[in-house]
Amino acid sequence: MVGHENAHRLGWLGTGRMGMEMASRLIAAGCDLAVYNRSSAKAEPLVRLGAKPVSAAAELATTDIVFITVGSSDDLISAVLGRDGLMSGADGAAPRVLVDCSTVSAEASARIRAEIADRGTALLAAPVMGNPKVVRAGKMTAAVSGPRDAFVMAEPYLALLGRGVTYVGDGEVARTVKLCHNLFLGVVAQSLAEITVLAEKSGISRQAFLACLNKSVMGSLFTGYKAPAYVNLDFEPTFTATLLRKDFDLGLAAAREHEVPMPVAAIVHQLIQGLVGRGYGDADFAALLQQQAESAGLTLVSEHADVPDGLETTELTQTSTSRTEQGGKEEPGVRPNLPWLPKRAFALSGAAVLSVSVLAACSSSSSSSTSTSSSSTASSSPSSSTPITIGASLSLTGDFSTDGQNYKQGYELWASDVNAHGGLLGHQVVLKILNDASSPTQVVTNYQTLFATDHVNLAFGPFSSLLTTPASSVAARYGYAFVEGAGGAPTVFNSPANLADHNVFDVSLPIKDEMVPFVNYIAGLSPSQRPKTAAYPMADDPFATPPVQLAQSMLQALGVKTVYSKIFPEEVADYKAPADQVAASGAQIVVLGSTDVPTVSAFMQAFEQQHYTPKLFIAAAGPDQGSAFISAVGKGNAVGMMVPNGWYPTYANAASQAMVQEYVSKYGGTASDVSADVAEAYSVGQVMAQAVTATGGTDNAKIIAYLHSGVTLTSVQGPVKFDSLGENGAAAAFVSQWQNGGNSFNQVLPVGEAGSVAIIATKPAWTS
Amino acid sequence: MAREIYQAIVDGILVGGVYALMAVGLTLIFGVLDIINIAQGVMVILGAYLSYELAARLHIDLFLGLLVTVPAMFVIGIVIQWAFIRPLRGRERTSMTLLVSYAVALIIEGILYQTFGADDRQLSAWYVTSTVHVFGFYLPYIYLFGFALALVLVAALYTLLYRTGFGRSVRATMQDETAARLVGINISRVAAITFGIGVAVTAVGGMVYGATNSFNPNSGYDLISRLLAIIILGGLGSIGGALVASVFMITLESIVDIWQPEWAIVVFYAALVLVLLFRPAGFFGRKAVRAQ
Repeated sequence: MVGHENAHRLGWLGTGRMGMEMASRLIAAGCDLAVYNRSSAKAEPLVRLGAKPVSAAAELATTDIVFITVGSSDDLISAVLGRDGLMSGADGAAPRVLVDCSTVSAEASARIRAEIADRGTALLAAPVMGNPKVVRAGKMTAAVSGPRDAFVMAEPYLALLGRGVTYVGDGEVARTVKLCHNLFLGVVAQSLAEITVLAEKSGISRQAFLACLNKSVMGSLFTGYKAPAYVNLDFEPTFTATLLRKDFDLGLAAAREHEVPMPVAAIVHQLIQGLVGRGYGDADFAALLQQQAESAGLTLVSEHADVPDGLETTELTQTSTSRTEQGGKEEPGVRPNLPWLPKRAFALSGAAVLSVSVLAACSSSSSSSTSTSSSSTASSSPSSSTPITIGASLSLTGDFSTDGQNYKQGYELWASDVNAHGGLLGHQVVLKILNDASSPTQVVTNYQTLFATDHVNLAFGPFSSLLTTPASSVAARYGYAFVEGAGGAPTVFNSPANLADHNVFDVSLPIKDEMVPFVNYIAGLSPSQRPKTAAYPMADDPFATPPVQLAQSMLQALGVKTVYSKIFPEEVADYKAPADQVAASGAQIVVLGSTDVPTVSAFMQAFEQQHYTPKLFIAAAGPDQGSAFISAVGKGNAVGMMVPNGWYPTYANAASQAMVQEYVSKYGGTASDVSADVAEAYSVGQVMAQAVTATGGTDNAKIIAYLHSGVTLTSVQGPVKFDSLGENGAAAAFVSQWQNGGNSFNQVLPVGEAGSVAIIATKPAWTS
Repeated sequence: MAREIYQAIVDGILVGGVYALMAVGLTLIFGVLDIINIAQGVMVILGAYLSYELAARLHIDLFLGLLVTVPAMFVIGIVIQWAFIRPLRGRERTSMTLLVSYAVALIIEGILYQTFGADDRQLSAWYVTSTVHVFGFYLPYIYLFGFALALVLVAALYTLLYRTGFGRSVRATMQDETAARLVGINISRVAAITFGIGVAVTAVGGMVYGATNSFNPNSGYDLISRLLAIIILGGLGSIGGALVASVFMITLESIVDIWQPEWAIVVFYAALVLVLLFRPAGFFGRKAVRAQ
């Protein structure tokens, strides 16, 4: 701040819109300022701010520096040299420096410069760049030319007017700077009009486009404060088209004089001429936008938007720093992005999120036992009034959704049964089932939610090896016993997490044990009847290879010679080559590690073509597919085909029969509609219930120890006894066979099991 | 061991014939039209389903049924070309056809699922499982008939391409589309008919494939990558090349299968890479094809 009171006394002549704004900045800075305007009313606001009014221009002559802002060259001459002008005082008083902030002709300026020099007054030409609004925002600048010592004297006050001024030389050269500035102004305004029209015709609103432009490096103070005019078609003049044309006339004349080509300015000159010609002469030069739009066949409509002009910020911070800054405010209605939360997770875990918030809201008022014990997660033990919550993630949508829906029914059937019989240890059971959409990543998120946020008491696993593997490591980390109904590929049990924590328990038959009843059947045959050779073609698949390999090692131990054993890629499109090799081997037993119907049917067809019929033919998968299998291979050829099979609805087990009845009464349908998935899920609940009852609570460490203790538990699928890796070594296994001309699919092994039918011991010849 | 190798060679030749039937249409479309028809695999399956329907509902013999399915597939091909391929223009055309034909594949697959369900089917006839015993080898009639059909088809397409005016237009289009247009060839007509023929011959491949393998609407995807490998090895656009490459690839695969089935599929593509290193245009490169 210059605020030195006894420095120079200042005068201001002409307080129009520009003069008003500039003079008020000097007053605000504490300068001693006298003001004069032809109509004194216009000076009134400045007087109220603290300026000293004077009744005649000549009275200003006694000050040191006089600033002058008038409209035209003629006004300037009369205000300075006229009869009632600044220099008209009888005492011959004259200021030391006269600063002309108007835009006037070089001739007028030169004439005044010459005349006042006689009185010892120096003239500084200081044409202002900026309109009143720009001045108010403190963004005004000016080029100044004239005697250097006069500039040195006036500079502190000029600096107060805005962003500072630049001394450009002697004489009238500042006028050239101003001309150059205005040429640039016109060119930029035209360019801005062109790109704005292009953007709008491409479907972008002017508001959006200019907002974006002004955030970019190409945005400037000018493009910023012109934005409201362009967006809202506000052509209220700040600088008229006619005045701009005059500056282009002068500027191009100067260019001609100095032999400077200005092709771009010349085109814009003609465009401004066009604007004046169309009748926009008195409108703001921003009407260039209107003209450009008309040329492009675009009709402009005001967007009536609230557009910042980039000038408010500085203005506000200068006058009152307590006001909020314009930039960086949060847009209403726009949710901040949560980068760590994938979108899909948002949608899928919606239910979880909801329940979490409910839990959080209630946690403070709930009984103390829950809230304190919940922090220790897996070892929590509910008081008798609180339910036992069991968390599970199931694939209710996606690839595994059929099984997932069945599992949900199985879990719910078990829970309703338990609750109908008084619950577990007197606690009602509450299931909390989240949907993982068959996704190995979502299943991890779901169990994290169940363990870390919901603090469920117990956990049921998913049912697919693909999902169990990642999920079980989460369960291991939180110390939960992870009891599942399926997902028994060796990769699940041999995962690093399970090898370290031994917390996974699969209540169903381990995949690799599927062929064991078949091997036991061979072992039970008298040595004379026992087949001598076997072939083991296997698809490269975690479900197909392990059972066949186990069967191979067991049969070899029985003295059955292996004549073919190869793993073929799962995605092979043609099985003729391996099938022909098996046929050529002449093996009496074929144990096929198939994954689907086409694999089995391809081998069957090739065998038939090669006139080869094995005595016994069992496939890991395919013949269990009912009509899908029959339609592919034909009824006749199906006879004698065997497949390991899991639980089936007519399984002669009292608990199983009861469950089937309950299922039918709860969900309708017939007994044959009950999926093996339901029994698997139900078994999970049964096993967990026995463990909770035996350990007297929901301490997962105790449950894990109990399940590993070698105890034999019961389930609707038969006995359950876990080995050290959580595989059910006691699981019942069955083999089914197509019989009766391909019309019935009967359970044949183990021999003597209730409900089993006599096996067809020699596969009949191919029939088609 | 020697016997196993002979068996593998026999298998390779017989199965190779089936693959040739499926691949000739693809090589024709790729070679002439610069279209990578990903839908070719599904069209094989579509052909199989058409044969299945004729056999199951009207009890028409599979080979006799070709008199119906081949013209039907020709019409389907023309319609697909007109509706989906023809509108594609410009520099990105070839890559766009990849996406568009994939979309066509998905559409056909969806229609097949809706119509036939997901169950596997297989075509049956007396010659599917019956065999002739030659030099100790059981040769199924279906493969013999299929191989014969492959030879007939290749000969017919050769005659069409090299002995007829239409064939001259096709080859001219293959060499330089712009020049062909300038000498008055109706390019869009040539393109439509060629695409139609390419799809029509697939009906034959579909029938034989459906008789030698079980299939469902999804089976086409296993085929397409192998078919593409075969036509690239044979030389794009080369009809005979497709036959030679089919037999070569399947035989090689069958032989490797004796020792290590898991390597068979690897060798299949490794052989492709190796051959292309020394013969970048395949057995019968495109230039050679055009020069004939």
